[in-house]
Amino acid sequence: MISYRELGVIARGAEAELLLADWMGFDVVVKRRLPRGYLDVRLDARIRSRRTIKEAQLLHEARLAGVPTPLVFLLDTVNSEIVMQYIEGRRLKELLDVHVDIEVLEEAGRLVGRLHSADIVHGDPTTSNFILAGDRLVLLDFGLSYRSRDEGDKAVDLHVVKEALSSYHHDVYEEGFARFLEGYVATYKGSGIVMDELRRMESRGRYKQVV
Amino acid sequence: MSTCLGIESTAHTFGAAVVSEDGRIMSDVKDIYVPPTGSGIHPREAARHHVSEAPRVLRKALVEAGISIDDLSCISYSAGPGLGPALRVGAVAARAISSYYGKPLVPVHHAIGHLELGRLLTGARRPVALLISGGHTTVLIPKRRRWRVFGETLDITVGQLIDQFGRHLGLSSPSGPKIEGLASTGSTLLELPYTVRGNDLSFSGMLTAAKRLLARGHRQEDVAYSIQETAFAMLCEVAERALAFTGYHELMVVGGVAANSRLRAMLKAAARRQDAKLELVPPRFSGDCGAQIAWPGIMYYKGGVRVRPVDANVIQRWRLDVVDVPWIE
Repeated sequence: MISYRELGVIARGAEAELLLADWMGFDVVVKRRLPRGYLDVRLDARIRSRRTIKEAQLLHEARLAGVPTPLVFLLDTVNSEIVMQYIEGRRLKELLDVHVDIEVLEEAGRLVGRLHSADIVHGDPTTSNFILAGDRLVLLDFGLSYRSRDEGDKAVDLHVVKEALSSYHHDVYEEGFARFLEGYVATYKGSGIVMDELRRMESRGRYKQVV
Repeated sequence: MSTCLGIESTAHTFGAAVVSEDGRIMSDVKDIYVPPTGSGIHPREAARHHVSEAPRVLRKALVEAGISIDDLSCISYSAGPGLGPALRVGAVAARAISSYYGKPLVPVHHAIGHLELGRLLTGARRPVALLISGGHTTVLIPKRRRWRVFGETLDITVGQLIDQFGRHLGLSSPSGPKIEGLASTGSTLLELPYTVRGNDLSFSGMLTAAKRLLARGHRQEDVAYSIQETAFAMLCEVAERALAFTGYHELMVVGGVAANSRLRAMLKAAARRQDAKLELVPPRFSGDCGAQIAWPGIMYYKGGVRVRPVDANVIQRWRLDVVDVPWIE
């Protein structure tokens, strides 16, 4: 049993809720995966505890690969909770709205490049999941992340970045994505193949006209 | 009042229906090809079945609707996706009637038919849709003149998973109801791969693993139970995610797999968890039928869509998110 004091809800998603809490005088974030009462209880418990463990592992592995992520303090596999460092800063999404130096997208590209070098796919690298804390860019939410060497899987990460920029930050989209790729190419040797795969993927099927 | 004769022949079912422009289903007749026990559908055999049943089904659809061909406004047919030989039977019938009687011809995408008939019958206005059949496992959102794909299977469909597992047990196809019966007496949850990638799903690994469990001596009932619990949990997860993402308040389920009562109960709870209402198509119309082709047929007809008989082809592989549906805002 982890003892912390809840201070409020930060966000509530389809799968989990994020709480702000106080743990031994630190501000922390608690990510709690909520039960799905309609599942076989054994299956529900298995899914939640495995995902919680995997997310904590990948947060840690990403950090070892040189990608700043919140520190994991505690892990409760019974209640499916991760207690992690609270990152004080502003989300990239808000920063791009109020016009920020586009340089920061090159750093975002470097982070994704380092992640892919370590064969980790983030799964949801939208501009909401980068936080600028002081002069350090931090990557958040590894809830959909997984290990993969596959260029197609990595290309989907790039596609998500591209979609996020073109739909929410259209004014900086072209230059912004170019800067992102500069950072990506500079930190990841396999970037060429992934970018080819991205072009192939976008020329066919559903990615040609997504929502 | 405009009326449309719709012809469906994508896979097992040869169906014909007459629907009016105000959405009244005046008739809906079908005959289903049943393959020999333990084997799946053979496209040529399905086509042979359709050829022999087509005249009777078509005539009955017109008689039940109380309408003569002369009074119809248009003919629509299922142009794909599906089994080539089966599809061509419906297309040939549609072309023949159209050119002989001089009636406009309208091609309809089979899955768009499921979705639009679903909206007509449930009254759902702006739903997240879960299309689960032998041919599709897709979560969709209606937006800007298209049904947009939110998530889908990366390999086989849930229908194929259940059917192929059933065939492995020597059951006749479609084996969904029998698997459901087996599962209802199972109780041990065996471990199967639960694969959700972002908003996409994968079931082929589960099929392989399930066969391996049988080979190791696990009871059929328990394996069937575990397949249902695991596969349906994956579907519910993506449906919940789509509801959370869009903020929509309706979850509409269409396609043959929706007949499974365990799945319906799970989806109802999943929808409630996201503050949404579950909308189910009546069983009579959740499988393949002529009405799903006749209803979009009349909508397209009113929008001016026509195809010349000489150009009325079938498309075996046809993604539904490239099809224009002009009446979606």
